Amino acid sequence: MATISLTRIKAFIHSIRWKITIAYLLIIVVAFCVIGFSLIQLVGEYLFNQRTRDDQRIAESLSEAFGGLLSSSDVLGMYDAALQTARAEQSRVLVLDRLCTVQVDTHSQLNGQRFITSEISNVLDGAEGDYGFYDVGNTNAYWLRAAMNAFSGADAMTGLYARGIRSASGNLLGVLVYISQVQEIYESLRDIQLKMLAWMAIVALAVLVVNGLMLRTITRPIGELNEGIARMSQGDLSARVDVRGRNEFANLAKAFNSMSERLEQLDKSRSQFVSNASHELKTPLSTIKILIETLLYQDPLDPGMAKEFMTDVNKEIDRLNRIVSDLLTLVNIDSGIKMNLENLDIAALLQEQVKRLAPLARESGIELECVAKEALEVNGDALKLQQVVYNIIDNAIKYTPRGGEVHCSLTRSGRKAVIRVSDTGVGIPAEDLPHIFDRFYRVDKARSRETGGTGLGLSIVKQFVLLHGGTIEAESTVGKGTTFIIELPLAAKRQEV
Amino acid sequence: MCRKLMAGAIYVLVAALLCGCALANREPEAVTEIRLPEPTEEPENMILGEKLSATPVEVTLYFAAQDGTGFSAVTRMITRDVGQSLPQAAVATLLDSGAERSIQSMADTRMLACETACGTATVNLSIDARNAQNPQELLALQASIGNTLLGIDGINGVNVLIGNVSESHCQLPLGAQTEPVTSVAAAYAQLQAERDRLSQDGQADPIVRAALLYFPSDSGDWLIPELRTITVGPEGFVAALFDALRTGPIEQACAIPSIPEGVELLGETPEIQTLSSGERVLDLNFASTLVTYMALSGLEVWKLAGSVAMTMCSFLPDLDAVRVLVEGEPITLCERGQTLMTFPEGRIYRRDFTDCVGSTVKLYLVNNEGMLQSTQRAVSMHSALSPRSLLVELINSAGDGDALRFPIPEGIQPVDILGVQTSGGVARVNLSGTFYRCCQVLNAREERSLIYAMVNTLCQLDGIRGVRFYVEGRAAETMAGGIYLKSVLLPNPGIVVQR
Repeated sequence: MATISLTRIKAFIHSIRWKITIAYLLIIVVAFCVIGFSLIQLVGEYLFNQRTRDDQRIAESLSEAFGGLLSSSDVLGMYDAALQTARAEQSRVLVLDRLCTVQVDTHSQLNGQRFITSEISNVLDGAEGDYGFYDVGNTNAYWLRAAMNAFSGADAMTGLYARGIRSASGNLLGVLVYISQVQEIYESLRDIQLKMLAWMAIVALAVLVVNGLMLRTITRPIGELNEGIARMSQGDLSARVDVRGRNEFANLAKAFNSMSERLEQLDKSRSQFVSNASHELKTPLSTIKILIETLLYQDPLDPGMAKEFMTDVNKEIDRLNRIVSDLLTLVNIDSGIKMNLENLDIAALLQEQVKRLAPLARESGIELECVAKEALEVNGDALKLQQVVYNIIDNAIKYTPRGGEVHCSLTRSGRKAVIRVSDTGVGIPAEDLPHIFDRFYRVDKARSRETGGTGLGLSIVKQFVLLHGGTIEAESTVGKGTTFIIELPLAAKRQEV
Repeated sequence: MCRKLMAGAIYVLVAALLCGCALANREPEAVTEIRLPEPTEEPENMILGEKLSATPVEVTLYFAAQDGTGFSAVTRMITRDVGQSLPQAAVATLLDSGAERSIQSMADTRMLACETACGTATVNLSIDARNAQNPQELLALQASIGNTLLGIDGINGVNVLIGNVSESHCQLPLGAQTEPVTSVAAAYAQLQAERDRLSQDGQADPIVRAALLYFPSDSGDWLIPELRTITVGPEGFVAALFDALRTGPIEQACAIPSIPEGVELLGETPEIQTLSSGERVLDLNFASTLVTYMALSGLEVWKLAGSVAMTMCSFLPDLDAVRVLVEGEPITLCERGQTLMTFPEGRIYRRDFTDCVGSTVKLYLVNNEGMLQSTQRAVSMHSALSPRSLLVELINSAGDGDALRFPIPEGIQPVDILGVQTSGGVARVNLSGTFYRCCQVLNAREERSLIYAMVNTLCQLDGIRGVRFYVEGRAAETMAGGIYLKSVLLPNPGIVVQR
């Protein structure tokens, strides 16, 4: 149980979901920290500067008023004025003599004691005034000067402004110290800080939730795809994934489905091909076996019959040879056959093949004609194009009854040379028409074998046409005849001409 | 694995650095050691006894014009002699300068005494003042003294006597002057109008006067003056003053009533009799219950006699003496401490008690809560002007049982105040080594209370604005570690609680 949990935890840690989540959290935390603290710094500096200016103004006013009072030692006058200001501003005012002895304290606690800070020292050294911040804490001691941006950890932050008290003649009589509470500013900044942290937590939580949902939509198709691939790798080519939406993952799913569909089809074709090939190869072998067994078990051997049987065996062997040759041709095509390309006069090639098959047509009582007036050049392999044209015309002659016609023509259609071979033969049923270029497909299997066909001829023809960048298609009406249309791209030179 | 760990560590470091940027300066900046300014070295100053060097004070003197109707004001810097109060010095200067600037009678007149106490001044002039050519000129003389003294801070009422007798104007008492007189003619006309109104119709509007009432102090043998406004009805001035005395002191917290509650006068309203010797005497005949009531209240006879005599003679015009009678029998003798006072034929004169006139001072003592609180104490007029006497009063107030006490440790005696010197507005107090050593045990609060009890008390005196302490003539740093004694310490009004 523990092992499983550990495995799951490890898997989760190594998952994209976990890494993206961590990355998001880091970005949020860092961004909030940087923005938050910068914001607090700015706000804090503004508030402190504002307070500093206010304190300076009050201290300057008091120090000017205290010049005459301190020179005449009018303590009551100073104390009343200081107390009034201190109560109004919730601050503390000290009046120090030149020896830094506190003579007036609105809190009446430091009277008689010496009080010194760096600000007071600066004033005694000649400065007009100086300001500093102190965290007096519980000790009420002003020995620890606070940094301006010490937003946290301060218990009793105070601002201290020291200003010289001068006589009318400008002599330094003492120092006025104006102490104001700035803790509330620190508290405000601390509140902002806490709010920022709270907001950061809320945003982080929200981002985690949204991120979880988003990652789910992202990783779920990947998971399904992964499952599909796993099923395929185990041999299940029927595996498909659900296609949702129109995003990249949907396109990927579509591509996967298309690929798996194609693989499944190929697998089926392969199986069928193997089955067909086995069947095609087994038929002549069975015939040969029967003929030879008949001869072996005949006693005494009739020479006439033996000769006839051996002739049949020879025919079956020829047929096997053709099938194997055709299969080898297809295998070569599939594995990338070498093409000897050259510019060919396709009209001459067509006429040459018509001329080769003219005796067969005459023998079959079929009228064969060819119309190729325009000289068109095609960049191709002469032998393979000859085989294409030969096979198509040969098929037309074979499947056209005596007295029929086979008509060949060559025309130009745009940048293509179009060869049409039409016959007035038996025609091909519509349901068979899409499969006539499949390997070992026969419309009329008995007749095909009678005519010596292997069932691979049209398949080879189509592969050769495709290798030349062309197309082949058939139009047929049962009882009226069939037309094969071959389109081949014209050679570039010819096009320029 | 290692690379992943490294990458993770870098992420954390970057985050920590970025987050830590704002807190980079969080550490407070420690203040570097700052040196306190040090006073210049001063030689040993062994102050012994009391040396008062009064600072010249600016006083405006009002000289009566030659025609006796107005005044000419002259502002002068007046320096007091040792033991002399500022009003005393001011009147002396005024009279000395009168020959060249004012009426003749002013030039001829001498000041016999000047009692300055509790915000009042009673000036006793020589009988030369009666040489004035007419009553209006005499009034001008009195008003010029009154105006001058009322211009001094702290003086709220001035009573001018001639030969210890209050002078009558238009057969009416003048009373104590509380407001400056701008026109003598107008003032005299006012007096005449009041006399006419009083003589015509007994139902006339009452006459209002300011009178000095003298009450015995609760401690010590002093008669404390209190300025009181009295309203004189048909019963006359004697009844009004008697009622005021019977009411007791109102403002002086350290004074007690001089006439016990429930005591009544016998017969009609007392009147002033003129004896065959020509003296004018007021008989106050009390019922026999007076003795009982006095015994119950613990009031001494001299306090009753002194209070009545001082009050009546200071106010009622041309009154020489007062006789206090019990069921018709005059009091002819009484004890005042160890002294036996005799009053021939019962006549009690004002002069019999002028040395009993005391003043009040504020002493700053510590209450049970440890806070400074002011208390009024009756002292002699001399002591009220003497810083050393005030310090002695403080030390004498160190009793443990008192609600208010001076917070000094045991072992300190008045002799430990070696000396006090005043100059330039600063009282320099020289304390003994015993005083210093005894104070070493004080904590910060006690030290503060002790020092500021002395500072606040001394700074109420005229001309003292600050106090500097020495120990055996040398400048001491602190008494117990808190208060810096090398500075002149100014009073601390905030440390005093009001009750």
